[in-house]
Amino acid sequence: MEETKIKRILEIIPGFLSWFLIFFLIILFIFKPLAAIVFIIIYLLYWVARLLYSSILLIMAHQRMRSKKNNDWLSMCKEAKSDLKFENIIHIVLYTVYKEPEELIIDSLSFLKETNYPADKIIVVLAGEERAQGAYEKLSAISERFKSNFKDIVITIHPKDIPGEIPAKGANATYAAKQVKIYLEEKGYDLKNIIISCFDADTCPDKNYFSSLTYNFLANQKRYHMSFQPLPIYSNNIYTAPAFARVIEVGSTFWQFIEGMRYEKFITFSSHSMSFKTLVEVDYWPVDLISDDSLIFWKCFLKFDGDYKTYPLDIPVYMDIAVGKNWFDTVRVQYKQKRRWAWGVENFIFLGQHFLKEKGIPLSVKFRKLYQILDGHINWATWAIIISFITPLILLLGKIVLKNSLALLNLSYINSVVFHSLSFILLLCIVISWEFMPPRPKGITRWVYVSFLFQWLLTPFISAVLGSFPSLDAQTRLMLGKYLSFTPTPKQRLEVREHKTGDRG
Amino acid sequence: MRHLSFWLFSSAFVILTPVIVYYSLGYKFDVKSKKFLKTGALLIKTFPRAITVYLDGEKMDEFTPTTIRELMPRKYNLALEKDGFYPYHMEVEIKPSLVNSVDVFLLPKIRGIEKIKFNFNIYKFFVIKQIFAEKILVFTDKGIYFLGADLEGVKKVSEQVFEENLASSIQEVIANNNKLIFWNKKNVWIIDISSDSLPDSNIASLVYTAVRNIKDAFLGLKERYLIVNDGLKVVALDMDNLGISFEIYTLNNSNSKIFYNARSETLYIKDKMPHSEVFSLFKIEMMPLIGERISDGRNKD
Repeated sequence: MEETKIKRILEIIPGFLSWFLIFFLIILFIFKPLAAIVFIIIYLLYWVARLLYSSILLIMAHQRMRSKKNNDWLSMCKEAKSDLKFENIIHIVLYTVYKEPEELIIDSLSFLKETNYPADKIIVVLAGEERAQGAYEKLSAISERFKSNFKDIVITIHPKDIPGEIPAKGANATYAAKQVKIYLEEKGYDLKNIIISCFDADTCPDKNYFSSLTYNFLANQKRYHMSFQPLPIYSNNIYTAPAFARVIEVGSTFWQFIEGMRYEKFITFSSHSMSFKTLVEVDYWPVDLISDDSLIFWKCFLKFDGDYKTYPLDIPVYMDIAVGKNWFDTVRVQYKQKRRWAWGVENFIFLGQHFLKEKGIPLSVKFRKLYQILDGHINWATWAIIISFITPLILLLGKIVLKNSLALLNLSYINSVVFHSLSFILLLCIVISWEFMPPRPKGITRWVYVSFLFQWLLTPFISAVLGSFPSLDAQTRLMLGKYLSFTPTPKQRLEVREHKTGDRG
Repeated sequence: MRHLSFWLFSSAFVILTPVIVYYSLGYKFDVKSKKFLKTGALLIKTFPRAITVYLDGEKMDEFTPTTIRELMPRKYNLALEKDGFYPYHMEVEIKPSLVNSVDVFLLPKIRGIEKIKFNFNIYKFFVIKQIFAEKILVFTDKGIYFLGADLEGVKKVSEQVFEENLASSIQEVIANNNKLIFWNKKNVWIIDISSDSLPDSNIASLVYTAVRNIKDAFLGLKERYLIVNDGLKVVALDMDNLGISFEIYTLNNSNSKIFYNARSETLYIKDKMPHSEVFSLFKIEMMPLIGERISDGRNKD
């Protein structure tokens, strides 16, 4: 079959399955209401089990993070038994910058220089875009300010309209990494000793991030077959972001927490680190796709015939909650950001196409990985819609159609069990999220904590509106061939300067 | 630990799901017969709540509202009991895979009875609804009185004593614009009860006497007229200027009925057409002429 036809079929599958599930339930209810009720009972029980299992993982991940938090990672680096020498390890910290305000990048670099890792082993790359007017001048001013704090600061400007590229973060990062390779080779560095961290412009690493990363890189024999994933915590502007946006982003953090516990399924997301040598071997991030952060993992996975993993560092990097100019604009920004994340369903197409050509990976692994992506994205697009809309609708209409059905009565009971399970997880989230809170900035009253407590009541609404709908939107667009263009998330903060460099959490 | 949790939850899901689904559909494993039997449930809601439930004489652990599950399909004697209420007994039938819903309002036991404070002979009483409260109007051997709904706050309305037979014949009372309008089959009376009038001067004025029997009467036309059906005709009695009346419709049958909708100011009449054996329904809009005149006036302006 033609490659383009295979691609189209793969593009249709996720959206088709999600819509099929939704319509299947509605049609089943119309023609066989009792069967629909039994289906929903099984579906809800599945989610009770899944949510409770996830909460166990969350507790375990939290414990693991706490146990690692107080390690003296730097000393451990120096004592690590490895074929590489700690002294030779150099970090490339690549910030992709588009239209982010100068202050935001300054904040990020201020954070970076406060990490406990030797500054003379960190090379900062500020990767600007030609599309953003005055990018070089802006980055030069920042470079001038911080040049004494790091081994070096390299500025790259990604030219616009390079054939074969889409205007996306991956294209910029790839261009910058290629320039850095030339730079490193000119300076005589061995790429085996270079670790690259690809950060968003608002990424503020924890003080232990680079020492932990270095230790794990040194100590791990499979370091070139491994990406290193920090825990993204969206808290830089937590005190001024609308409550619903906080809930979404804390949810995203917890999702990463849980994902980090499932090593075999764990893939890179957002800011991440890896060997520069590996990056070069896999020909950098994809330049023509949007989900560069996860696709780099799959590129490596394919390159090494499935022998590639993502290692959860359990050390946080602090990022911004995506906010707009006002409350409604924040809803828009959040929706677009989540839709872009959900566009990660393109991994399924990417992998599906390559798996057909790839002979080195066992068929069972191929199916498992494809199922893993499909399962994640279909559930993302449908579960909140089924639980928040279809189940209550069936309960409501069932009273008319199946007046005195015992199954209907029990469905409402099981539904309440699901919501109690959700409440338990919410309680867990409230307790754990408290630990990630940065210090309260001046000008913010203590009353803000009350809203932090009650914000969780928004969860059912948010999970549907800003959980499932963006994902279903992304899958539908892909199914119809209306491809998404890369929309960078606006990084803006209100006037209150929220984060301070140094210790947090 | 993670794998253990995974297998624990997976196993729980795989094992418990069929059990819960079967249970949800009403199946129950009967140890004695070693068979799956289809059961039903009983959903009991009551007012007030927290009522003790007895099923076939056996006290249930839960109080209302409650759902009793796993009931074998048959008839049961349900008893609902609570101190201070009459026990409620009923038979309920349980059918397989179905829920029988019972919604019961328990009747409180009478705890005491109150008597009006004076010892006059009460001939007739009416409960009159007003905007903020209800009042009781009593015709007695000592005159006409208003009482509060709690039988307190006695206020004399009129010294006039209607003899017992006459008072007992009064069909309805309307309180409107400081006037009491009441009628029996023959007569319509009106008493002015405005605050500046004294009870001894509040004498009922006879405003209409029917040739036959008064069948229906309604307040209408901005509550200024009493629309009366006296079996021969429909008349409008002016309640502000006594003695003025208008015959608005002549009835063709003595069994005709009327209804006046005060909100739309419409008169509905059930009557026979001349030389017809069957009744028909007629409608007269009482206000359109006035409305037309107002709009005409505006147009001229």
